[in-house]
Amino acid sequence: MRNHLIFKRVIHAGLAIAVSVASLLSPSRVDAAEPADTIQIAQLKVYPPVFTITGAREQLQMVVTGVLSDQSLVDLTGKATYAVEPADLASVNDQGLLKPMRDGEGSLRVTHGDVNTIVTFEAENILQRQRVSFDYHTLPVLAQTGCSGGSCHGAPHGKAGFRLSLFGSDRELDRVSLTHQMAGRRINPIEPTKSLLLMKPTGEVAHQGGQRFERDESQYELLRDWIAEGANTDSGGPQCVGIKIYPETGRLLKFPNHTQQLSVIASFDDGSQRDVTHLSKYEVSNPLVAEVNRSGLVQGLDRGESAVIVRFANFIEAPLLTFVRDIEGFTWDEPEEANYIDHHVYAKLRQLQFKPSSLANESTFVRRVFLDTIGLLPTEEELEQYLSDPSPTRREELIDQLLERPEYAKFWAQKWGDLLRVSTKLIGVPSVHKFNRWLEVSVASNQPYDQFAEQILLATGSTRQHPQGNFYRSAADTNDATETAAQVFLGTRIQCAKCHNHPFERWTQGNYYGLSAFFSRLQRSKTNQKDEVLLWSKEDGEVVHPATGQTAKPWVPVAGEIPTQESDRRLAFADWLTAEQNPLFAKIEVNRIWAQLMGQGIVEPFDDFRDSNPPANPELLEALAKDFVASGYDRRHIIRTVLLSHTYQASSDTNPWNEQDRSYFSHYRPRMMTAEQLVDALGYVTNKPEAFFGVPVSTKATWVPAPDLKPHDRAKIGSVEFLKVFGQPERQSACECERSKDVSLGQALELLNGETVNEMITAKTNLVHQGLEAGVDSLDLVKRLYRRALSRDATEEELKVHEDYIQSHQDKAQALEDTCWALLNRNEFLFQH
Amino acid sequence: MIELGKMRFDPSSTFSIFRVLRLIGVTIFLSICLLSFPVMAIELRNSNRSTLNSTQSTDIELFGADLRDAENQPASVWTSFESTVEAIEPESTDRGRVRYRITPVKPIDGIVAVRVYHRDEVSQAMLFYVKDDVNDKLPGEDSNPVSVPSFWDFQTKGLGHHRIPVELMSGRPFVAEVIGDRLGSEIDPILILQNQMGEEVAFADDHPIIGSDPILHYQPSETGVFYLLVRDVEYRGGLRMFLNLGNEPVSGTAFPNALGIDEMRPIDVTPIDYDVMGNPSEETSSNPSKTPVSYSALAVSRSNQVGFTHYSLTGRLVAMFQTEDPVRVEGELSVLPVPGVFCGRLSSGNSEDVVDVFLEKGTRFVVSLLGSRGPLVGHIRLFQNDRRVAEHHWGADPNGRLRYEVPEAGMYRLEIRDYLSRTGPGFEYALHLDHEDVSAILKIADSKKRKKRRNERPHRLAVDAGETLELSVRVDRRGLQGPIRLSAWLDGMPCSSVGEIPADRSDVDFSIRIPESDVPTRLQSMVIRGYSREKADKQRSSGAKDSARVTEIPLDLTEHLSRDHNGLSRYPIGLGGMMLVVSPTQEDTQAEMEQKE
Repeated sequence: MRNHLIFKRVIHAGLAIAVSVASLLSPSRVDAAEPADTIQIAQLKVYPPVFTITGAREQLQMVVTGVLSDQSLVDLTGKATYAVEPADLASVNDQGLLKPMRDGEGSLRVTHGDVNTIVTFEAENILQRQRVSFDYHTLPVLAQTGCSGGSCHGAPHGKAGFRLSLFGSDRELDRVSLTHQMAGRRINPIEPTKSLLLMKPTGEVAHQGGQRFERDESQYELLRDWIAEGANTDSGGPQCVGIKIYPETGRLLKFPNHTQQLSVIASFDDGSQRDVTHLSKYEVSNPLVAEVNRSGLVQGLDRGESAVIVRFANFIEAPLLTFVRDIEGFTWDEPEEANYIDHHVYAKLRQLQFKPSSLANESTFVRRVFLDTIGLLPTEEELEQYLSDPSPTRREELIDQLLERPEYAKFWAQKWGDLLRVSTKLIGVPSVHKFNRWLEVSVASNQPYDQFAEQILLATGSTRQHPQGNFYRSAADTNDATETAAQVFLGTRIQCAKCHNHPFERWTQGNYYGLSAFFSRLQRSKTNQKDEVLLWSKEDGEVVHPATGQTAKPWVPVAGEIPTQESDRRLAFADWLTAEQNPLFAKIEVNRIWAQLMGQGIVEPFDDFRDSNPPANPELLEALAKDFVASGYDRRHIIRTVLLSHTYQASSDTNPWNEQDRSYFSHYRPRMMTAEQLVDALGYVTNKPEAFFGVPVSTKATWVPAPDLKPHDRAKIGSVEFLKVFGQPERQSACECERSKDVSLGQALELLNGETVNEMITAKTNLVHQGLEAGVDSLDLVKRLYRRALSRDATEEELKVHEDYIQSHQDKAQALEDTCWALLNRNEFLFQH
Repeated sequence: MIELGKMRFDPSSTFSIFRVLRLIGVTIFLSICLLSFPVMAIELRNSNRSTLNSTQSTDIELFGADLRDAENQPASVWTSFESTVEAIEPESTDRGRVRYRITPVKPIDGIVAVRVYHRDEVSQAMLFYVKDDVNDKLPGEDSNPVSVPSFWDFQTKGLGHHRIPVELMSGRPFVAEVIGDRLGSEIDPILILQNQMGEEVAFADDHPIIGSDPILHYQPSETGVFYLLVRDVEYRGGLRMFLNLGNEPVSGTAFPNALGIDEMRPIDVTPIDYDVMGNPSEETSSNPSKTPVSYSALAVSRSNQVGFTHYSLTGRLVAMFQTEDPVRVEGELSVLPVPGVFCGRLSSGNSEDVVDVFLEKGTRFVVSLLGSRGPLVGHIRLFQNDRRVAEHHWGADPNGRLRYEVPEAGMYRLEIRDYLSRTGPGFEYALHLDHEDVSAILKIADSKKRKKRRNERPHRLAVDAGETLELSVRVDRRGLQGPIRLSAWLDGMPCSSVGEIPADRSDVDFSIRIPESDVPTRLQSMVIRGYSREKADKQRSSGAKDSARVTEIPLDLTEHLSRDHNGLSRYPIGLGGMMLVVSPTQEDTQAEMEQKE
């Protein structure tokens, strides 16, 4: 039987692949819109409309936008024609790059089809010598060409003995590396072109990193001139204060007009502006949707959204671009909206032309909502009660009932336990139970989230009296507390900024130590009482920036530096964090709730908020956050709202118009049950629940306060632990990513012939054996197994297969065990769908 | 012949490597077996009771190891109070279980200690709460509701969980309270009160004043049956505790919470029937907000020993300190005596206490907090003419102290506050003020010279009368210079002893002559102290007016006691000393046996 089922699974897998391949062919993608060459433009807009170019090395990237009659926008930068007046003032290439040739004022006529427009510009100091700036030419070039990237010389230990700071974040380090190390052999001012700094990236001598630029490119020219000028590293002159990207975030591009030239203008503290498009580094957040070249030209690849991360010097911006495409046969059927969630999700789906799936059937819904709210499968009785309920509002009623159940608090407390690292290794067994209890009470009492965060962050005094203070035992020092608080409450993985500026975000090393200044005064003292730590704040104490040696001032994202009078600076941090004006706090929690219910965050990974990781649906995230704040940070309200939405209740079955959607919630995303859910489900289906160490026997896996209550047993080294194989986290990090969602061979083996499953199936006290002993008909037992495992009745076809199999065996118990085994290995059981 | 690589061996050869290896293997195996075999020693692990009656006999069952001697006789019993003890079932052969009937000679109260011993060994102490009318058959979940008030003495069952039906009256305060931590029980209990629907209506965990023993308060709005869940937080079974189900707690706070030896003083006792700041139960319990009612009681020191102890005053169990120094409270004196003990309380509305002390030039002023459990994180600041000259808070170091080298004589101001700026009930404190720093301590270990008896610990010994006891005594000088003379007392009587730690050393073998005795084997307490003569500005005053003052150095047994009493964070007087089983000489024993026959 087992071999037979494995064979069937292989067949099914083959069919699935065939269907997937077929689905790629239909429905066809139709780029119905006219290409830019033929469309009728109502108006042309040129950016920047007015500009002054100062310096011989400066240039200007124009961005030409066509406005269509329906007000939609098309990038025409590479398709327009350009004419400078007077002609000897500047040259413009096909891509709209203007290079001045002398000083003077002039105009640029931009033409596309019958439409044209004129912009003016001024060039000055063009014929004067302009020295290469170390900060704003040399270092950006090294960043743009990838030399100072994290995988090359910007790695913590550099590459091949040459270390640069990541993307030029530490000019002093770069100055020494470039001009002093290797006895200054990296640069050769006498014969600049013989400098290793040029010969390596052009491939003239062996370079493990390959060729980075050609000799005729502007990057080469800048580096060569910098060396020729004596490798000047002075930091004098105007300082950059920010960059501005055009077009701004939110530009929508429709195939086949799916390219967009970017313009990057840097502002300096003397009021001047420079075009740095050619010096900026570009990356896309979603490489499946778009790509970008070194000149800042973005090209769409598929429907969807992608941010373009633009970096110049220490400044980062990430405008979001949306690419849409007409799909043949797509019609919007105006699906019914249950609440504002559907409104925002459907708006996005309509824009991207994904059609939402229909609602899941009742048995699928009940199974899904049980697993999501209380972590358990519905019992046979609960299933029967729900399915026989004629009420038209039974879904709503069920959701309300589930959210009041104690299992809800236990299940969600465990999720928080993962984030807050509730483990015996870090805080000891008694504290694990006490902290877990505190979390459980918080969830059960629906403690407002702002209070929840405050009580954790401001915990003071005995950790026995205030178990939430164990947060500061898991996060056992200032850096750990900073990083954990940032990750849990700010959704920011700021760890990178401890040693260097964040590679993908605007966080700098200074920001890191500014944030840690809030936690630096917190002290942890062991008392004479067992398992007790006293938390208290020193009246003084500062954090010193390791690179600058200066005292770090308390700093928070968005608001910047915060002056604090209190000796315990955590108060100021908590005030800022939980203020309604804080744009991050509410969003992070609603996104976390959303991810836990939908299997994927609106921002994904859901604890990695940054400009370069934009939300899949910003309007939805904004609306949820607004609702969350308006409800008084009511987590249960948000969970209920999500559960009531048709977006949540949608079927996991795709339709031809949404099967390619992975990000916009057009259908429910099936996911494997978590390790704990799976163990509980296996226990329930077989009626042989697993027992856990250090907790009462009736405790479910989804309620266990810590993964390491079990004492370390050397004798069992090497034995496989079911929960660990299925991704139960050790709780050593505050990152949700610690819970592995990967599918592994070990999991397959555990399910096929692992000890846990085998013991449950063969136990003489399980459902099958007890049922047979009580004289229950075999087929009735099969029906019960279906209801327990899949929350539905077995179909006639399925029953026939099982009946034939059981009839063909002398040993009914063995045959039923096989049936149970087969059922437990079905994806329909293993997945939450 | 066995071929092993290129070499050939003859197993029958006496000198073959094969034989040698086998011999080594067998030796290692036997060594491992011997080391891993548990060597039994007298040990008290548990009891069926956590309470004793104050005047009546109490039958108790003790569990442990080696509780009978070689002749299968039950171990003798020592109590920290005067009592008569009778062994029940003396004929039993169970060495892990013995039963006794203990009858106090005089009324007892508070928390008392019991040890067992026989000629070669003495056990660690086990603590009992003195309470009458205690029930010992805890009703099951389906039984009739228990009445309130009632007292229960029981052990947690498997997984440490009990669900007790309780009938509560509308509007009448209900208190559930555990005494376990204070008895050295390893239980870490929580209390949960549920209504008939199984919904939690009140919860209590650690109490800020009394440690991990919880006190649950609830005032029901309706009469009915509720369920009290008593659960060990780690789900362990077999842990003993006392449970009070009543209208007010049996635990209280005392003010002042220190008493001089041989002193008699009125004490305010306040039942802990209100929340104190920081009690997590305030979020889930329904507590009437009321002004705490205090009761006045006249307290007399219970013994001549210095340290922490428990008193029962007006029926409430309170923690007290007995001290040799004069005790003063707020308002009694405008200037505090040094050395002395100052008791205060940071009650609501007053966030800071201020007192004056007169300090002499050249002395070192030392303030220590008598280690009470409680929410207070004492913060002491010393001022001279409004200029802060020293400060210390006990959050940073719970065993630390404020030290100040006094540069000039005069009045100084001492300000006492909670470091976390809290006040309220439970914020009572006792400060010990001194003008020198007695931080040096003595420690003991087994002496190499001494023929060690089976499994004895350095602080629990068995000796023969007339024997010379050899102990290895070490000093942790902590800055103390000079030689240290050692002295010992047995049951309060000075012993003839020889021992002095030279100035350039930190340990010595200390010889104590145990007095001759013909009384039967009995347990006696030993006190060892060290004395050092130092310059006057660094010494403790012994009352002498000359410059040759004496620093008294106590014996610290913490490292030994912590092994004996894993569940205790503080060691009351009854546990604190060295205990010696003193037996008469062999001839005496023979005579004793003949006498018995």
